Amino acid sequence: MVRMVLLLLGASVSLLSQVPLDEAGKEGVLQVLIVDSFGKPLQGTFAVSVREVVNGVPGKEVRIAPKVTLGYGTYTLTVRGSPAYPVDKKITIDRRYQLVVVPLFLAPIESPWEGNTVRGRLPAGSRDRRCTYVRLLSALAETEYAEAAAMESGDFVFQNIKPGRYILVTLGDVGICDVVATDVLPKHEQELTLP
Amino acid sequence: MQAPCPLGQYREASGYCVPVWVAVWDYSTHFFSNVSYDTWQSGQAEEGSAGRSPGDETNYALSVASETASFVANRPYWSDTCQKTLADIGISVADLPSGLTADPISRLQLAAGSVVFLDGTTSRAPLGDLYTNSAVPGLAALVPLQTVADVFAGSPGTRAMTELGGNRIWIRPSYFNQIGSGWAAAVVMHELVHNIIGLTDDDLARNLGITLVNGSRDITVRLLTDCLN
Ligand SMILES: [Zn+2]
Repeated sequence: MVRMVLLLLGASVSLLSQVPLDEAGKEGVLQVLIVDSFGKPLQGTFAVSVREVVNGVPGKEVRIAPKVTLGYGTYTLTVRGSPAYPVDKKITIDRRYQLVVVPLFLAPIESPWEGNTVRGRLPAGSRDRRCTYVRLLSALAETEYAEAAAMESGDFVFQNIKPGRYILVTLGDVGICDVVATDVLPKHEQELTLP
Repeated sequence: MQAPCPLGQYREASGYCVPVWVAVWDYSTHFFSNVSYDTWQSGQAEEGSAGRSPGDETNYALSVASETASFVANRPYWSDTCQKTLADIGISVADLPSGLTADPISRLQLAAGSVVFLDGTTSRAPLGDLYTNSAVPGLAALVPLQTVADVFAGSPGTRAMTELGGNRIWIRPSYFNQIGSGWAAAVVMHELVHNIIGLTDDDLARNLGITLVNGSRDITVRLLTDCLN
């Protein structure tokens, strides 16, 4: 699970690399894989578009198919599919074939709408080591995360969490104490169990 | 990001916060009159829903919502600004089964003619039902296992909810019994947009080029400003 996450993050980092000048005029195939916040591929009607970024300025928005040939360069990729939050992602086409994974998170029909409440308690060992800083990071989208400070009792709570696959990390002055992969399920409230 | 405008004001394209004028529909004269948001708010506080039993309150609110939809369905005059705003929000010109072509306002009026209002505070309909007609039905599996009534109870700020791509609108009766008729028309129009094009608030806001500072309400204010003033 954690290995899969690192691979995905690694892919997005390489997409942000710059295009060498001598590669101007070349083309690459972009394939957009749209998944839900648990990583499950989604079917449906999507609006996928790109805006080429030239000298830092995004150009005209052009609708594309999920698989398309584009000139080497930097683009803002936008994916929309109701009922999900629209996603903007900066990508760089610099290879003959590239895959971009875009996770969609469920959006409420009426905004704002409170998402899940996630509660948990630090393991006794982590509490003793003062690992009281807790982060909940989406396994698929670097923009989705939440932070909390555990109470003296070790209890912590995250509010308004969108359902999806997450990694929970506890931190303190000693560094990282716990790393746990967990699913935030589509319920209103849930209890996380740490080992 | 710019600071949000004070309550009762909205940000114009120029960047300045300007007062919202609330159109109040007079059912005796069949004309709107514009009052300031503050005047309208103080009027609502006086009006309230005193003296009605909970059952009466619900029936009254449902009849207010239906009359409002009827007004939207039958109103003969709509501005070009409104037509453009509805197009911007995502209601395209569409061919009807009858062979006729409907512009955005006609589509809004057709939807207003077939809408069904329900009491959101007591509805046992699963929340997931509101998402089943959406463009990406797989996402409905991520909807919390709650009823519409659970959502209204847990989110006091929710005044109305709509199924995406359907014809049902759930309302909070106590709210509909307090608001003015112009604002009610804007709220109903907002919900009809969800019905017609099946998009959520975040998509509607993006289509309009606005950032939701006060949530759903910002879309309603835009419809009020562009269509009912
Ligand atoms: Zn809405």
